[in-house]
Amino acid sequence: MKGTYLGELEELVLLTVGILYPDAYGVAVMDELKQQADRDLNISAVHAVLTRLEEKGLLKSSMSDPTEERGGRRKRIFTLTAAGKRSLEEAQELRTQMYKQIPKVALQSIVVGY
Amino acid sequence: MKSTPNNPQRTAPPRWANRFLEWYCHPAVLEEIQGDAHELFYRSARTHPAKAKVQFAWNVLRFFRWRNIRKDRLKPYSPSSAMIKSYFITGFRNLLRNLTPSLINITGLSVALGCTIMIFILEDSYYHLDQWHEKSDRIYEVVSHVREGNETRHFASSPFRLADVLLDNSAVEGVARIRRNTATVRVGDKVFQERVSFADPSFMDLFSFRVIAGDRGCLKNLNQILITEQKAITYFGNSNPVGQTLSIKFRDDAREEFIIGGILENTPLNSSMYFDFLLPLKIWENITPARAANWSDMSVSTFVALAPGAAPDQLNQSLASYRESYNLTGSPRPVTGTELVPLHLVARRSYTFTDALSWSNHPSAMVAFGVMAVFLILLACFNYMNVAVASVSTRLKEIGIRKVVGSGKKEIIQQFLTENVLVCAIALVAGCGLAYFVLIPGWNTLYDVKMAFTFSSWQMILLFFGGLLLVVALISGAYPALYVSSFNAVKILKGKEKFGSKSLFSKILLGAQFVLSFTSLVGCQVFMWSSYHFEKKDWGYNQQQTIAIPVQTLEQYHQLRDQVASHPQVVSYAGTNQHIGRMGVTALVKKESEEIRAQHFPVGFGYLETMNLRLKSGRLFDEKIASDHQESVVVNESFAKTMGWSQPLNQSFEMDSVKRYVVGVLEDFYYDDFYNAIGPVVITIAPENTFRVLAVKAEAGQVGTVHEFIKKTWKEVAPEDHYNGYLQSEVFDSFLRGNRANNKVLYFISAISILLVAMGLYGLVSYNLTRRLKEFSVRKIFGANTVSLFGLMNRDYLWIVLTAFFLGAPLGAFLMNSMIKSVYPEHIPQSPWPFAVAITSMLIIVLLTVGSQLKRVIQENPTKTLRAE
Repeated sequence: MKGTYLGELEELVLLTVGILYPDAYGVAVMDELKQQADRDLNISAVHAVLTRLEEKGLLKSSMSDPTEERGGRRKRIFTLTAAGKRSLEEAQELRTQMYKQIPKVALQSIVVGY
Repeated sequence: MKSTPNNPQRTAPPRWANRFLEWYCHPAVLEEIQGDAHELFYRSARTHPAKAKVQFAWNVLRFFRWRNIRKDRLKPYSPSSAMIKSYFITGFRNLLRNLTPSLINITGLSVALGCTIMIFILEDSYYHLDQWHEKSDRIYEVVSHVREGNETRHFASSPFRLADVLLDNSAVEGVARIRRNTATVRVGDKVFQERVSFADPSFMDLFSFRVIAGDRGCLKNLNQILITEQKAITYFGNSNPVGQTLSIKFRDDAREEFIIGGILENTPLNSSMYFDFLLPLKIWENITPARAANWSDMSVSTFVALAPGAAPDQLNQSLASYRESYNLTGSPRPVTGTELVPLHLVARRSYTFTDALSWSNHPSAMVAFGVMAVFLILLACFNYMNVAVASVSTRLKEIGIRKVVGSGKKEIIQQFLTENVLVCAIALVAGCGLAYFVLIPGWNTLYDVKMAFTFSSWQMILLFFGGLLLVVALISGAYPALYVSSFNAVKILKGKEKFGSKSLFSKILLGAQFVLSFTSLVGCQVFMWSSYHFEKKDWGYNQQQTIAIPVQTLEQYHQLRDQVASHPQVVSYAGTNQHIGRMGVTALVKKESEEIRAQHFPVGFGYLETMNLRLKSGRLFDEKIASDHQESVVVNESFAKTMGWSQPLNQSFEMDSVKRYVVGVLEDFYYDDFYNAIGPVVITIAPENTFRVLAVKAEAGQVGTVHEFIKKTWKEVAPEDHYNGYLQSEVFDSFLRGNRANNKVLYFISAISILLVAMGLYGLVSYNLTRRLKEFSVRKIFGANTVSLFGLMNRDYLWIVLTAFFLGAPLGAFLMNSMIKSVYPEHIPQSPWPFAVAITSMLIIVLLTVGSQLKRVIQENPTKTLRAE
């Protein structure tokens, strides 16, 4: 179903917004992604994902107070919504559940083969 | 102060990028986006200010996404569909109401567009010749640079055995040779002289010529042949030609029978190579093994297909061994270099090649045509502008009401542009029709190189027609729309708004039209003058009395000669190996240390007399003088000049390693068409067994009768061979015919340029007259007569015409003269006639156009005009 499915990048951004609470905005998210996941993203790409997630209802946003470093401009601060939190949990759950179903032999044989 | 990394306050993001961001960005997201971009900028500006600027600009560009763009900028204004409908309806009604000016506009535009479309098709096909072959981007022709004396010629032909050298190279996918010949083809009682080409079987693999019936690879069999559809119909009518036999007779050789293995589609118009019959090249090798084995005999055109990805330069380097083999033959014309010319350039460069297989228009002509097209379009657009501005007079009230009801400037502009696009679209359709039904068929009756209403690709069609519509609609419509929209509604409705051609701008426009018109008119006239010059040119001998008959064998020569000798109206006759006008070989002449290339004509005794060549000094050949058979030569003036002799008689020189003595000097004469200047010519005596042409001189005025007699005799002498004789006065016909065709095209273009300007003038005069009717009425009441009124009406225009003449005429003459200079070597004296013709015809047209409106003024009853209101 369209809207409920989470892309890989979307999931990462969603997680980052959670990590950075309550200071998640464009540049911060970009920096965090670089640091944690070694992802080189253009700021415009981060914006695109954030807006998409907001449209899906997984994030909500509000404008911060003006800051000096941005020439007196405000930031748009993103926070997780309930739906966002739920879809993160679902994604997490789905992964663990599916990972558990992999037969042990399969994992071992990779190790041996390696 | 210079900005340093330690001084971040000094660095700011590039202003243009910031402004661009503010311009396009949706206000709702601008703050955060700009904030993020700035934050990133200042962060990296601390360490790398230059890099930060680039990064900022990059980020701004990356933010340019559909989601972030403010949509109101994209659609500045969108009229409702009802308004668009209204624009079209009023536009259409207006066309009908002002039928005459609308027709003038549409006719003018469509004629100009028709010409432009035709010229574009011409240019399009010129730049895409031969590119339809599947392997076209990998096919190259081998061109050899041959040094002859002190000049280098580019030979498009190469030795037969070059193919073996090429095939040794791993980068070569295939090699195909082709050789053009003529031969007599016979089926039943049909005998024709035909262009017969020999080709390798691989020719059909390299090139994508289509075979519509039979076997594509049939050239592998020595007794099979490919012929074109057209020739198949000539020889076999409607019966199936595949499997039929035809017999072909090559020069001096016995007849051979061939079976038709396949039918070629008629050579497409976008191919620069033409052939009617394709025979296996092996046949030619068998007939003339000595020539095929000779490394210095440039006998075939060689094409090579490279393997995908292979570099032509590398292959070219490996051709050094070919150069060696060639130069080892001791040829006096050494090959100094080779070149692999890509297939798509072969035709376009063909005019610089010797022995070119391909043919295409001269590039100068293509440039000239392009310039003409632009001129015509501009003329038509200016016309439209002028008439459109003038015609606003009838629509002032409409514009006033529209403005009062609530139209802004924008809407009025939009309305007028919509109407304009409508007119242009109609004109474009009409222009296409004109090109398709009139211009292109007309072209095909004039020129040997045919054209069709086709484009190289559908992208080209879209680009061309879309671009044309846009450019024409904008150039012709932008000014009138802007002009009209700036009227003040109140003034209009009060009747106080001034309009029309009082303005300087419309005078300049009219002037520009006349300048363009004069430029093309004078240019065309200059060209016509030069071709008149060629037409009337003295060839250096009397060409009117001579007939030339090529013969196949010596036996034919003897029989024909004996018959001709008995005819009472024949003055003299002679045999020759090379005939002046269509043949000729080159010889290298030693002048001190250097070698000079000269045109060489080996002829029989009495030939020079028969050809009416004029002796300047010395004597012609005499059969009784023994040395004349061996070492005497007759040269032309140009030869003496090149050798630097003031007294050429009895001088000696070495030619092809034989010492020669000059016994006579001829006046310079034309031996080739007028594209080449007269060069040095050497004439020697050829033994009778090498004769290939019989030249016959008839009594003055009797050349027709004698020619009929020879034709009849030929049937008895050589019933198997086609008669190829011709009058000497016809030898330059193909050149002159081409020139006459050019003349007709130029006549047409001059006529159109006059027509367009006359149309524009007519529209303008008629509107101005309407405006000045009251003035004229008052003048009439006070006693002005017809002549003074006519003078008054003309005064405005004559000044413009004269100014335009002094600007446009020299420009036209200069442009055309430089084109002529690039094609013909000879300097053609500038004559005053083109200018006289141009100004006279233009003045007549102007007076006629204005005069046609005079009737209105004379017939108008002043009381009626003045009382109205």
